[in-house]
Amino acid sequence: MKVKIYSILCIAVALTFLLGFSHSNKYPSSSIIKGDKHPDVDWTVSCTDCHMDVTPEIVKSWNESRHGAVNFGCYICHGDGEEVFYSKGTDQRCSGCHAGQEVNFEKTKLNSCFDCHDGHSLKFHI
Amino acid sequence: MIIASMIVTTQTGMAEEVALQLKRIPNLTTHGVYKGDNIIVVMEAEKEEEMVNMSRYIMNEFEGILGTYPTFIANEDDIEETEEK
Amino acid sequence: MSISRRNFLKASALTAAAAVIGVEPLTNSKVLAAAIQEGVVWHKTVCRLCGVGCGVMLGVKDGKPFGIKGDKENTINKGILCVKGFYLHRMMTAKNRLLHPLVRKDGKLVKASWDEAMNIVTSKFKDIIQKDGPDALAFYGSGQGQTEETYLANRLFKGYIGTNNVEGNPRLCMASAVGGYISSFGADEPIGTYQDIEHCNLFLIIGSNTAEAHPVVFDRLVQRKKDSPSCKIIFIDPRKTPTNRIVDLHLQVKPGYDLAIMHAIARQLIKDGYTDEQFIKDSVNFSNGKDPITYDDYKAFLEKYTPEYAAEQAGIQPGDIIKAARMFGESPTAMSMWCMGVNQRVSGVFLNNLIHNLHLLTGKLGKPGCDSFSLTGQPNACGGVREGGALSHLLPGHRVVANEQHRKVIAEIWKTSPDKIQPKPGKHTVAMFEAATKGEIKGMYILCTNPAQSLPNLNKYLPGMKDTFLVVAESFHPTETSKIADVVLPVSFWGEKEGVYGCTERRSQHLAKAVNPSGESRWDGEVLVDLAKRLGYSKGFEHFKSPEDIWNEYLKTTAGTDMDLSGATYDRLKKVRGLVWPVPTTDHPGTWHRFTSGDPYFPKDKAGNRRMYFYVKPDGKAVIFARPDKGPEEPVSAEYPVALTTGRILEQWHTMTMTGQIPELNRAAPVPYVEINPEDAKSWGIKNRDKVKVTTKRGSLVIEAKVIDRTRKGTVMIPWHWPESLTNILTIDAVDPGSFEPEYKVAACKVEKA
Repeated sequence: MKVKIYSILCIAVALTFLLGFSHSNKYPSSSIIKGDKHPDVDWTVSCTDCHMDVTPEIVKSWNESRHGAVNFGCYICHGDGEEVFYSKGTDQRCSGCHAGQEVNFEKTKLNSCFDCHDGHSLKFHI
Repeated sequence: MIIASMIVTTQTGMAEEVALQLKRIPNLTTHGVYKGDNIIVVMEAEKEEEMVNMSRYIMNEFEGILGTYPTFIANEDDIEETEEK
Repeated sequence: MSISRRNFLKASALTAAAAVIGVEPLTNSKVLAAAIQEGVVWHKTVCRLCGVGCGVMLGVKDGKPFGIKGDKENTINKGILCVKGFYLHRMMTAKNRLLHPLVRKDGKLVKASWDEAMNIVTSKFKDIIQKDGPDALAFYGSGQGQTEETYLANRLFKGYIGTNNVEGNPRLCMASAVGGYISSFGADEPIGTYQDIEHCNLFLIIGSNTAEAHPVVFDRLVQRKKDSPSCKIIFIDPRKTPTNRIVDLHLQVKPGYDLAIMHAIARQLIKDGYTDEQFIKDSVNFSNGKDPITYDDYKAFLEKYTPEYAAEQAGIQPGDIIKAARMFGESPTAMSMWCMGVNQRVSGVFLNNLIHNLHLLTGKLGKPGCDSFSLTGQPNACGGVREGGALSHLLPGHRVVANEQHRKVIAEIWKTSPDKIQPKPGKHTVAMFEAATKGEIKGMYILCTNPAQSLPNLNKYLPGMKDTFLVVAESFHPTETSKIADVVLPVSFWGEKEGVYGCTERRSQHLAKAVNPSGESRWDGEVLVDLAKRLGYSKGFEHFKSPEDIWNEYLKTTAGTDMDLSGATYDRLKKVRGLVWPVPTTDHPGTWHRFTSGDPYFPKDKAGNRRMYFYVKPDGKAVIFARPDKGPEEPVSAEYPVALTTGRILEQWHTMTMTGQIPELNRAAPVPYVEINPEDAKSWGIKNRDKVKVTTKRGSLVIEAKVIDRTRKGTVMIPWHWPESLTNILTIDAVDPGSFEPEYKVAACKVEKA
């Protein structure tokens, strides 16, 4: 009795993705695993307004990057902080613009765009 | 017939309550709460689409669920086919 | 047998799950960009938001929206998206989607069937037509409706109901640009395309915060500056904005006082010998707005506009005007870009003319890297409303209701009697809502727009809207407008219907239907055909079965006109990334520069040696206008000493019906605010995040202060997005006498600590 392991795996991967990336997924898997949650702050202040004081180097590094030049805010990779938060940053939106640079990570030992690209300067660091 | 299992992770202390609610879903059985907040769930569906919808339903419609993590999925028909050969 | 097999599988499933809990969660198996493609079908479409026209791929899995990515093949955005576009698929399933009809009963909106809702609309409309005549009805559409929908509504109201009270929100946004293009060049819409950006070395951006309002165009400018280090950008705007990051010279003007600057630049160009005399001789006439004048008359007129005079008017340095003129003159190429800061003004058309003047004087037009290029705010303002002729004075294909021949041609295509189309233009938007206030307009059909938030001087118009029988066809509820409607019809959203959008650069692009309509929502076209049938016009509408049927009829209205779309069939549009008109045949590639030898309608015989022939003008010549410089309708006064201007932010779009549903986008600017210059804040005793009260003659708003070095001293700016804080209570409803576009951009206010 053989089971078509390959096709099963494919479906499983697709399903994992679907759930993990579903828009209504309030608590993304990465944040559960790392247990990372954005501290409860005054949510009426925007990310950059607060982080300019809290983590000025990061804001500066982002601001000087290509993403900063076109104002791609923190929320694109980190979520809004309150409802969803990815401390490392999620790849979800990368292919929004970088559809031409899609990577099949299965063939690599990497898991995320940010394994190679520094999230704020976007410089290639590996 | 498609059969799948998954782990449903809930907020701390919510697992028992969520498991009770999940039991009401047709074609779904729960198999206990483990390591605090993980519920093992086995689901059956006619089509893959139904399975996805069921997973989505679980993810979206219940308070206290943090994530659903599929661990196994198999198509009964696939096996039948293989056997006949 | 099969049961035991199933049990085996169940056991396996269980074991797998248990193993996972025992070992390591499967969630660590990262899902990866390429792997995710499994089972996802990507549909080629166009962004639903601003007028740039970015190509978007909408991913669908199991019949549901799954993801979004930029279309690499699209020439406009080349795969890039802005932050708003990223979340389009989530807007489709947003919580505020309206999934069933609503009708007002005992003062409350309650759920109803389609039949019940349509019956109410039909009987009320019939009643109004019978008692008060067709002009007591009005249609108010949108630059976001698809061309097919707008065309159908225009056809029904002008051609069958028999009223020219057909307007759309482009009146509030693009009307002055239309007026400028028609008066200067003879026909609406730009001569060049985005393609000119990559050939241009001098950009003049005026009244546009390109970085936030048109981010993908901004990205192309960033790229252009990187590729061509000699490329320079001049910026004329009352605020420092994120656009300043790439600006070389900023003329930070007082809001409403920039007309004199354009004249001063023109004067300087002539003085410094940067004009193209041959081009002027060949292709330019001069006018004072009433009568033709000579080139010398024009030069004499300009004498008043010394750099010193203009600088004093605008509150800037004269040296900067001279510098700007030299930069414009020295560069062999030049492209002007502008938006609401120019259009939303009582002198909007004049200012558009004055921008065109600079290009006509220097011949920087109709060749690579040169254009006078208006940026647009909505995805189909150009396509549906301007080209489709869905304003009160227009007919499709750049025609007007006042022209008998035009009415005849259109009536024939519309299969209606030419007498049915009234020769007199209907009421323009502000007049239309004023008529509603007076009770002259009794019923209104609003499609895909939110005037209860977007009209100026809202306090004046809201009561009238509430009294009018209001039908709102919307994908979302509540909006400020749907809240006060009598009937709300749930219509399909982007991705749930097929159609065509025409963007800023004369490019028409096809939008795919990727998923089925949500809930009970229906395609607007289907709703309008249903309404037409119920009103008794079955014969004129029953043959429309699909968007393509409507598009094909629309193409007939464009055949042989300067905006010929005959070659842009559905079949072709589905394959290509849009076509830029004129595109007269199905083998024509589209046109880069109009009125030049590359234009299929360029009359070589008439043109002779002339490089450009504006064939829509009788003698083929464009017009340079000697327009008087005119300040704002409401200058600052002792009582209202501060200039108020309105604007946009990158992360939100218009009235937030769509973008306001995305928590990530809301995070960028969580609360409504007013930008106050730090020096002003200090002298007014206001600190960052203090509550302040901003008051104009029309109303007041309590809002959070954002003390930031953006607006010039004496000026404050409020973004107009938040429905809970209606900026348009403050704005003025004075309109440009030519375009009837209101002056949202300048009002006088006072600011106090609340």
